[in-house]
Amino acid sequence: MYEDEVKKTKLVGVVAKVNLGGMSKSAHIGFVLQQKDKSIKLRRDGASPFYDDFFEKFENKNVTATGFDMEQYFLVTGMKEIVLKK
Amino acid sequence: MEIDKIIVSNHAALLQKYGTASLKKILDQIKKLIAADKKRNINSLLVFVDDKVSMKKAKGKIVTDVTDPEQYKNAIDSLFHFYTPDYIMLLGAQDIIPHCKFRIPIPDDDDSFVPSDAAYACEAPFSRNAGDFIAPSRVVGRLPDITGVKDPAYLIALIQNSINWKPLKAAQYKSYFSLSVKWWQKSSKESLKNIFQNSTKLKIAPTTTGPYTKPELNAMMHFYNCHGGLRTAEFYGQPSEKSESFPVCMESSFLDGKLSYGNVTAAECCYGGLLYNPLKPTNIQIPIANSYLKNNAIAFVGSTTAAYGPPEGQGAADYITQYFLIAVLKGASTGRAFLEAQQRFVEKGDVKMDPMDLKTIIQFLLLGDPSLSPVEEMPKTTPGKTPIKTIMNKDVHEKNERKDRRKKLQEKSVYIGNTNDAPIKIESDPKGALKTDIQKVLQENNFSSDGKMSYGFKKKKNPKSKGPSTKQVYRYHVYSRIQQNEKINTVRLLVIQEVDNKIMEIKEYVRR
Repeated sequence: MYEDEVKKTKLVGVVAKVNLGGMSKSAHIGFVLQQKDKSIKLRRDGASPFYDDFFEKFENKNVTATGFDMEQYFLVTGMKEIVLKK
Repeated sequence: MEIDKIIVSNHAALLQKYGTASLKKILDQIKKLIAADKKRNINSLLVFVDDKVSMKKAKGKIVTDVTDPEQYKNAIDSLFHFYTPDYIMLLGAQDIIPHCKFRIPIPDDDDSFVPSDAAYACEAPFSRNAGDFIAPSRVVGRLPDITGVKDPAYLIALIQNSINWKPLKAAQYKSYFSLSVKWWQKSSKESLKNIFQNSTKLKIAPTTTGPYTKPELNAMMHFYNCHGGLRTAEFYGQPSEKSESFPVCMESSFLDGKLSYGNVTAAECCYGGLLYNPLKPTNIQIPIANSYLKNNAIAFVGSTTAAYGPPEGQGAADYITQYFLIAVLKGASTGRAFLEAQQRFVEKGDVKMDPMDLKTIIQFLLLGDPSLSPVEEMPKTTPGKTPIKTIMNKDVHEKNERKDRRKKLQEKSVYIGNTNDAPIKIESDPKGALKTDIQKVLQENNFSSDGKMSYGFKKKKNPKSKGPSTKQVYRYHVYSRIQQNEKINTVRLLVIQEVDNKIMEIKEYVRR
């Protein structure tokens, strides 16, 4: 991965709690952003890469996540819930 | 002049990263390293893979794309064949010399590819198939700088550490610092007993979370069996399998000013050897591996990606790391110790590797100058050899011994390559009695037939040995199971080895 090429971007999707890491030594429960046809692991700098309780309040909610697509995870710098106006 | 060690780098990439003045400082230090190596009876040569004259001399092609591992692999192969060195030292991190990248499909594995230096240590030509690189034969280590960081001070300090290093008595390396995830402590203790014949110094995380004192960290060997995360400067503990608590038990800054010069470290942790860019896209601490070398360690063995181990006993990452430390303690250079560890890992494992073992051999790498010997050699009393009364012509004797060892390691690589096979993912749908037997095994172990991947083995086109060949058809069927718990789900992996439609072995891996 060449981080120099990574640019800040926005993703829209639903935050979900899932199993990550398969059967590796560091398998764990974590959060992903589920989009229409894929999902990507969510992480924040300075927070646990395994279970970041920051994402708990967004679980099962539709959000806009701002940050960097690091291929294997999305490095979140900001997250907002999308509230539908009726 | 016979060349014993090639220092491989890319001039254009170094120049772009550091600029003319800083690069000159780095190259001045390399000159001093070559002079220091000469005094150690090692003829070293710096070769730039983008230099037309050097590559033409070695009958190789120059590297024109700094990001293309295929060009690097071809160039390094040419240099190796021309100079037949005892050591290959890659100079620079992944933005100077890229890792080769392999896809190794494993159910629920997060890594879309595995960055690796294993291909540079193998005779097999470049390919994108990890299974072609299970039999390393060359001593390879990478003296890294920091990916994306333009200050030359780090690399200069590492080169100076190589220049000034003098081996120590074996007894000095018997002191160790070790950290383990709490619920992996049984496996960690077993590893420590194999390496040091005791496990009394093991620290368990939690409750141990650091920071640590200088007397704790100045032990000459460090061994980790902890959690690690992608692009994090931390290792983590965990109280139990079901816990969602992953307390930090080590971080890069904990090491500052506290290590002994000559430290040798092996880390089983996921991503422990990943040389990420600490500045982009966000600013974080340098990788733990970089921090070890910055704080005067001379070797660090770690994994670039998520590592594996069995739920009980030992396997995969446990083995390759402990084999490395054991070989260092016996007096090998760090590079030879790592090559011996790689070969021993493949040799002792199944003739038909399972996918987790394949990932293990590909993902672990050595960071540090591979020609440095931490422990003073005792040439008169080499383990396994009749004691020598007198050594005449010391320098020539030493060099001959080294060349003999390389020859044996190369031959062993051929043997390993001929006797071991790496798995490839296949589509397989067991039928008849086998299907019934597998269903019975799945039922007994509380697995369902969902989440399955199968692996087979290609027939070798040109086996070099004419010995007995395996005519049986081997396959692995790997099933994953997610167990819903209150807070955290447990994922287990059942590996069923099938030979000629009959089940032979059942293994279980679990998240650790």
